[in-house]
Amino acid sequence: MPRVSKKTRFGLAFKLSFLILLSTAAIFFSAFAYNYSVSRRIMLQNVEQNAGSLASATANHIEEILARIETLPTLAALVLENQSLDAVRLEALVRNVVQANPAIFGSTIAFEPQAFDPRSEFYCPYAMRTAKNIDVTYLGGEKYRYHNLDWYIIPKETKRAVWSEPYFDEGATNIAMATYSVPFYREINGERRFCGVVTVDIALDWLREIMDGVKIFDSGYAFILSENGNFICHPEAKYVLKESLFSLAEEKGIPAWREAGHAMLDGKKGFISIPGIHFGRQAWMYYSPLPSANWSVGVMFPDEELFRGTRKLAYMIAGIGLIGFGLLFLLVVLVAVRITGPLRALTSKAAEIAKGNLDTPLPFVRSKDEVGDLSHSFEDMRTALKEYICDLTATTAAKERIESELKIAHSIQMNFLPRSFPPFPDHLEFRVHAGLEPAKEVGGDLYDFFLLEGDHVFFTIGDVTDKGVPAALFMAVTKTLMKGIALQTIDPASVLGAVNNELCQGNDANLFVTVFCGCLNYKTGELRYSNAGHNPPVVVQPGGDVQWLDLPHGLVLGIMENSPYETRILQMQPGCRLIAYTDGVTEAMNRDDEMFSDERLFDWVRGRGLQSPTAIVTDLLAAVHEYAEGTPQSDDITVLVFEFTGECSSGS
Amino acid sequence: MALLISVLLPLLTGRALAQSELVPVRFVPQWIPQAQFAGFYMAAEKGFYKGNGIDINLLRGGPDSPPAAMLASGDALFATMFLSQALEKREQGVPVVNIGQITQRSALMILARKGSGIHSPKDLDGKKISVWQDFRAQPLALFRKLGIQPQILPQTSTLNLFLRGGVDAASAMWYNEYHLVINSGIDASELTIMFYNEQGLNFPEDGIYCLRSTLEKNADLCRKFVSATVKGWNYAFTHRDETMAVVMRLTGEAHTGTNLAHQRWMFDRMKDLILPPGSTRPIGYLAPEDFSTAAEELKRCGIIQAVPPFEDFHAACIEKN
Amino acid sequence: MVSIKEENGNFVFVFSGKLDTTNCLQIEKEVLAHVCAAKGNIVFDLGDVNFVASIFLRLCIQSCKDVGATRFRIANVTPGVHKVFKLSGLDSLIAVE
Repeated sequence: MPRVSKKTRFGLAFKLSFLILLSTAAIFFSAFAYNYSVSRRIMLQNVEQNAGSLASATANHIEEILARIETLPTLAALVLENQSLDAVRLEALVRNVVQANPAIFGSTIAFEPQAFDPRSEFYCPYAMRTAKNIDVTYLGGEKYRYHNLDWYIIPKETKRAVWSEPYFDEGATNIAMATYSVPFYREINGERRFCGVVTVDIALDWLREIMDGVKIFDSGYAFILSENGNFICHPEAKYVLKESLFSLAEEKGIPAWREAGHAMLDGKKGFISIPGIHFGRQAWMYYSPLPSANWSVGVMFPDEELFRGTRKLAYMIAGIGLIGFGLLFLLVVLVAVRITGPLRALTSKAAEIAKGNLDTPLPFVRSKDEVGDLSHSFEDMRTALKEYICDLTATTAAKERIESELKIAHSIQMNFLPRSFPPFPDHLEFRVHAGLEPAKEVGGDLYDFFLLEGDHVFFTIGDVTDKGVPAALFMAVTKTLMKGIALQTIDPASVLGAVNNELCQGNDANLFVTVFCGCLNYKTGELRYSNAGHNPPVVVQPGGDVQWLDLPHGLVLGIMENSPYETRILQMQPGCRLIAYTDGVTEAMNRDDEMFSDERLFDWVRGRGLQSPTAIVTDLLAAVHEYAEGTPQSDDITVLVFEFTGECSSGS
Repeated sequence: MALLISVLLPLLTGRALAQSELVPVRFVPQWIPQAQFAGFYMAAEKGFYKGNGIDINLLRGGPDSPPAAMLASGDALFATMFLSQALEKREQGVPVVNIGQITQRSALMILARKGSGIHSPKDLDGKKISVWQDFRAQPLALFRKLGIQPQILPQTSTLNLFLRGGVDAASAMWYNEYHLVINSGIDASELTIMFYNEQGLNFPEDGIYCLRSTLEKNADLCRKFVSATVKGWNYAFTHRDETMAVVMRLTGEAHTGTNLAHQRWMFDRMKDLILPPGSTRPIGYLAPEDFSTAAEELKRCGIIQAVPPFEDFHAACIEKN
Repeated sequence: MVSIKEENGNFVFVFSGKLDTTNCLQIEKEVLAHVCAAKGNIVFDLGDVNFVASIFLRLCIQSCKDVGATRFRIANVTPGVHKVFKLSGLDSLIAVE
């Protein structure tokens, strides 16, 4: 494995891991938060229902007991309103009230001043439950002015039966007591007048039992607030009849508790969240009124326990999430490192390959993923590159060889052609000019002219059907044969026949050459010519008439031995021009793949045919080039122009 | 050896003598244990009385321990009373004398429900108001001054009658009942409050009293008691948390059914009453003008027949500064 | 450029388009290989050919030599193409229709 520097190690892998984990975390946390809040809400809805019924049931239970206690003094007050009882019966009544309900600790019937006995300010029999008996004493006097006490004056002034604010009994300081006072009235002089109150005292220890029976989770509890907001019952004994929700709100500096106190004393039901109420923690409280005493029952659901299930679930989910997250983290890092590892290895190798070291082996990647593909592609690329470079080397060599072959062919062709013009400056009887523009690949065109004995000039134009070196060689052979044989026999048809027979020897490649040749007697202007499958030359008469030269039938050279060739004669007038060419002219293509054609050549000659041979050659070649519009030349282009001037040669 | 004994003996007996010289003193405050008497508690707690040669016995006050009666019977040597109470008791024949005035500002006030249409003292006309029998002079004086006739009901030891709607207004002490009402769920914004001291009826309240005979026989003890008490108050005001702890302990022992928030409120208000902002009167000082205001009003109400001379009523027991 | 059809052992080479030097060099080997392998007659169908370069003539000559003039013929030549055959004199050597 290649060593990778620390700096690059955290590049792609880190980014990939970071992004994946970040988005996963975002998704997880939103799902988690949503789940938590929804389950909390559902939980709370359930709890509100349960708490409501719990609080109501507790309140109803207490109400029932209070109602039973209320019955007796209420009945006694009714009796007192309608009957004037004497002292004995009054005592019996108050004793009966205590006797009737064991919950009742004591009872009084307290009269207004002079209302029972006109001579006495106080009249107040008090029956009290003792260990064995019910004792009756008489209250009231200078030391006990009961008319000014809450239990008397409040029902008197408010004109209704009331439960006193609970108090600690003086004898037993840890038992909360409460007094129920019912005012009674009598008709005096047609006026309904307040006459006194009937009271019962009860201990409130049973409340504690009821409250203790309310179990909510581990530490949830129920409590009762008095009309003044004081705790009548609370699991914290130190609060009972000492603290109110309001005093605690002040002491702890939590205004929300005061709000809670207001809500409870409003005489309504409700479900509220109170901060810090449960050992400094938040709790939910359902409260329900006790209408008869204007008290309120509250049941406290500590948030922590209330949402324990939800929280536990949340912890579980969070835990699973975290573990999953951790695993994902490992996985992502692993994958990232596994992905980027080969990439990094590849990168360093690629850098080496980039330097040109194509033999650098690439690290082997087994995985069948993109990285594997990339690695394989890279390997393929490396191999291909290597092969390409090999090929390129080989191709370059081959190309160089071909190009050198072409050069050879080209030089063969060119070296064989007469290229100095005018070739026969001493002979004014005729003018000859030729031009050959070789194609990139030598086409094998040839032309030649030479003087023969007896005022003759022999000329040849030909086209070997092949390219390159073979064509060049074939052309060279043809040209050499033509000249060699022409020196022996002046008749063009005979020359062609002889050359044909020579060329047919051992021509397995079936190369052939088209040849037009002629022999002009420059004294007489008689042109004897013959043809071996070559394009017909154009004749320009001195007057400017243009015609195709009438050619005899003749097979191309090199194909069949003993092919017949025919010599024809054209009597040239002074100023007559013969324009011979190869198919490179007529088959030159333009961009639209159209050929220059015989017709265009013919037309061209009709316009320009009376120029000097040199001009014709130059201009025709130029015209062909112009026509080709830059289309690459695929074949040699050769033009040979012969003019019979008829002038006398100065030198001969 | 004999020499050693002869040297040590006087020291030992001297100490024993010094202890036996502490004068036992019983003191009764006019009400149940609460922060109203914090200065006395702290003086005892911190040994200020002992330091002044007093072996203090703090009696538990309350409705069963009327201070004037206890002074008269000799059950207590010193007691606290409201100035108006003291004047009334004097009138009734208990020869009490003020040897130190604790509070300078009257804490007595009227609480009324805005819901009953009471927004100023004048609105009390025709309304039901509960009034403490013992502290009726200021209300009566106010009603007479304003020329209004509320329907007066006796006030019990609680404000439940007011809280239950039995009366439209009630008497209250700023440091006590007012706060109890607030902590029974009535918001201050629901109440109209009227201070007597703002109505020109600033009766000095808590003061230290003893019988004239005590003062005559043992003026030095009186001075020592008052100065230790003043020291106790000053200590209390600079050590609030410590004081509150002592107060709460005592209220707990007495089962008074109170709470820290309430006692703290009371203590803070006592400071406002004893050392009113802007006042330079030292603790223990009784202003003659306050005395005469109270006495004149009591006389006008018929509670007392004659205004006693200030010098007769009050004996300054603090060092003049 | 060329498609080869076999009918009863006879091969018909259907040429199309322009048989210039480049095209001819491309198809030369394939055509000759089929020609050599053929047992029956060979027909070069030039119905769709509008131009032949001289190098195509060499292909014809070679094919003709390989199978013999009797089994080889060129069919459906257009006038333009026929002119080329005539010009080169090959029409005397090969059956051109």
